[in-house]
Amino acid sequence: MPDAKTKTPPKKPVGKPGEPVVVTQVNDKHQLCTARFSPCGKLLVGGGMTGEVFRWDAAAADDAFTPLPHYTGHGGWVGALEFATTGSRLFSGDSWGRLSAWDYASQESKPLWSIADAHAGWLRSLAVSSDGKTVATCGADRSVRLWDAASGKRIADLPGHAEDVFAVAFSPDGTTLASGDLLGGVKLWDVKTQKILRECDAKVLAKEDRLQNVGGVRLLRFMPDGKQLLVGGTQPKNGGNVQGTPTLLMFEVASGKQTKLLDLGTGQVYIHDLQFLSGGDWALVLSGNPGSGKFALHKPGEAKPYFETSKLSNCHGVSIHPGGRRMAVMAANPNSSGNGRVKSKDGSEEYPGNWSPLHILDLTA
Amino acid sequence: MKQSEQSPREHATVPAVPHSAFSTRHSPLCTPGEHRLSRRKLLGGAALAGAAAAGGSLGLGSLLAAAETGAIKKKHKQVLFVWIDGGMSQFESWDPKPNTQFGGPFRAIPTSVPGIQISELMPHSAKQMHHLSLVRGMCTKDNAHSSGVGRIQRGDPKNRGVVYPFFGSAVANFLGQGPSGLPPYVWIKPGSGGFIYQDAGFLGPKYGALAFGDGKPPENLLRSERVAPADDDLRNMLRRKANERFAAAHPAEPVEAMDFVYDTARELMKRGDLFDEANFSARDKERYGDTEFGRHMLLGRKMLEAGVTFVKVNSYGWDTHGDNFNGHANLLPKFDRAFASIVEDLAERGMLDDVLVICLSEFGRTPRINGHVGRDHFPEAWSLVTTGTGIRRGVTVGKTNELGTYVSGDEYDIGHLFHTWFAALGIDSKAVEYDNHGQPLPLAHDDCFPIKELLA
Repeated sequence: MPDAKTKTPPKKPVGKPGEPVVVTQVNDKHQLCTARFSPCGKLLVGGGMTGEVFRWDAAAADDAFTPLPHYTGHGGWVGALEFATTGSRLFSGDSWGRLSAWDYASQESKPLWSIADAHAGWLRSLAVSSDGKTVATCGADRSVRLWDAASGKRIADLPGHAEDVFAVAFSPDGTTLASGDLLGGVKLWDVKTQKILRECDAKVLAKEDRLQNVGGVRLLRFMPDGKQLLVGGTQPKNGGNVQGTPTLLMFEVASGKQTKLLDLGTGQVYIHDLQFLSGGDWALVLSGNPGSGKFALHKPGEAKPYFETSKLSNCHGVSIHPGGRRMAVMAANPNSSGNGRVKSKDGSEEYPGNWSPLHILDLTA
Repeated sequence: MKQSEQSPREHATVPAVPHSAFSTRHSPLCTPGEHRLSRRKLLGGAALAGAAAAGGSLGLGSLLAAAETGAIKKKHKQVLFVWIDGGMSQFESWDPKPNTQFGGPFRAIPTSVPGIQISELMPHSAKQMHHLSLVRGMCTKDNAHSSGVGRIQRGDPKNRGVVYPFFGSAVANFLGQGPSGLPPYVWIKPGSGGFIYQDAGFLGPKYGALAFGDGKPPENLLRSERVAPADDDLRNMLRRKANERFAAAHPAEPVEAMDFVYDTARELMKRGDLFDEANFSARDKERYGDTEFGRHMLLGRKMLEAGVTFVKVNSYGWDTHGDNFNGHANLLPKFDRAFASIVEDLAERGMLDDVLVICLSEFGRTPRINGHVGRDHFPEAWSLVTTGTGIRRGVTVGKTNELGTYVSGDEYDIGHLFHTWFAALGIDSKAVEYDNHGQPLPLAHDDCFPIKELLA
């Protein structure tokens, strides 16, 4: 083995112009629910499955992504994690119903505020208004709630969903909130009056299979111009070992009418995350059966990607670095599935767990 | 993984051997035939034993009969067997490990028994925990559905080249129809129905399951209005005469089996009311839940109340390799309502003293969470729940380690549970044997034994 002095630097990955290439991988230990770059680009955070918010230094020139002290105080899965685009606020929500706010620029690892029972049970998703003043949350208690971002005071409850609410999203101007549930119901709310403006029918993303309601609205994104709403999930075929076709629906916000149904192809099941690149293109991640899953780039409104890779298995999260040319894709480790007891590689009795590698990709110039 | 709802895997083709009997364990010097004991003899013996006990005297024959049947209690016992097909996750149900590496997103909640916690997805069952016993130390052998279903329901005995009966058939064989005269082994399930003789294995088709597909009675259950009752009786008499003539020249057992099934079907014809949902109270419908499983569990209770010996109720769709947590978040509350309601009802009616309740899957689910946010099959450390006659209540037996990856301490295979359940029904599985055409066969795995901590 070459010693440190003679070691040659790793080759810079090369890709076709405009295509992303993996430059490094972060996290070889923890299983995560979601991951996000901070708006300043100096921090990468991941919501863990044992109540932690993991943090990595994303500013170092050597792409070392050194782990930073993680935030504690959550329980279960930290599946909701979003930054305010202004200031230095990070908001996190967990499967035990807790909602917390953090000053990520501070050295303190204590939350600014934390509400243990923001929801009765699983807090599924949160969104932060573009002015950073309001946080919206939703959960398994079928409720949608608005919170004052500065104090954590509950501003409003938005009742109306009949089942678990999986996703919320603010329009770019912050005047409209979208919420989507397990049965494919999507509601558009006037944030100021807290009244329902209109509803969109995304029932194609839900199915009742014996005792199980399968699928539901797993993703909501307003297009950057605020005129269209993207609703993502799967068109489920069955419960249990869920199979289906990952699907994006587009609705006109002004009318609530569906304008497109994008079938994202076979071999996958769910679309889990979608972020906008600086030019408006979509970066999206899908997962499916063991060993499948992909990361893809799409032109807005097009079902067929102009780039995709299935080398990153079972992807669940994607975040765009504010620099515009870097992204983090949260995936699953290889061979993450299998029946029966898994033996540790070293032959010990330790039962090995899975982890969620964060693949850092740069767009090739 | 699996796709189908009910499926051939449940009943791999089994050669039916029309014979049924059991014997007490005997000296190796005796011939097995000397210990053969027919159901008729058994029931006769039980009657004699009862009469002798009442009269205070016993003749030699009666004493022998009593000795032979002493292993079986006199009061008619019943079984409710709830089968969660595909594999319920122990982490999301009976053995939660919140906030640990494999614990998943859900919390644990306290139950009516201090110190016992179960998943927050089952608040109704939590209130009934004082009636239930959790076995958290299950460690079984098979991680495939196709073979695992049969292995678990047959008790996974040692391989002796014969196909063992499912527990329902075994119980039907030992306990018979009881005073109701109804079919001894019924199976309420989604999908298709019919007579599932394969369950009976070497016991023979007589002890198969009568399956009520989608909870509906067999087609044409009720006597046609075009046939007057008197004509129906005449037709039946004619059938019996023809059968007697046929039986005189043929082996008796197939004819007995056919007669048995026909007679029980006639009894069932009298109870069409059991299937009429209009007879279900609004309160019961609400408590059990307006779901397929809720309706089937309510029908199960009706069957038990009517005196059916063994009632199996299936729920499908638990094979959550993908999206396990949303799956269980949806499945378990519906299971919970129905299961807790039937336990509560059986307890309130005093029926838990005579009804053995069993709820299990073919295995549990893996601690590790796969890339499809699912859990795979895991027979190595899982849980089941049981209660009722002969079973201690409000206890846990066996435990897993902090992460739920191994059983800590004693591991229990399904054979241990079979011995325990037979004991709970008053059948000494170490003393009684099956007699398969002269071949003595143990009731359950030779190397296993009843779990004393689980027995009342």
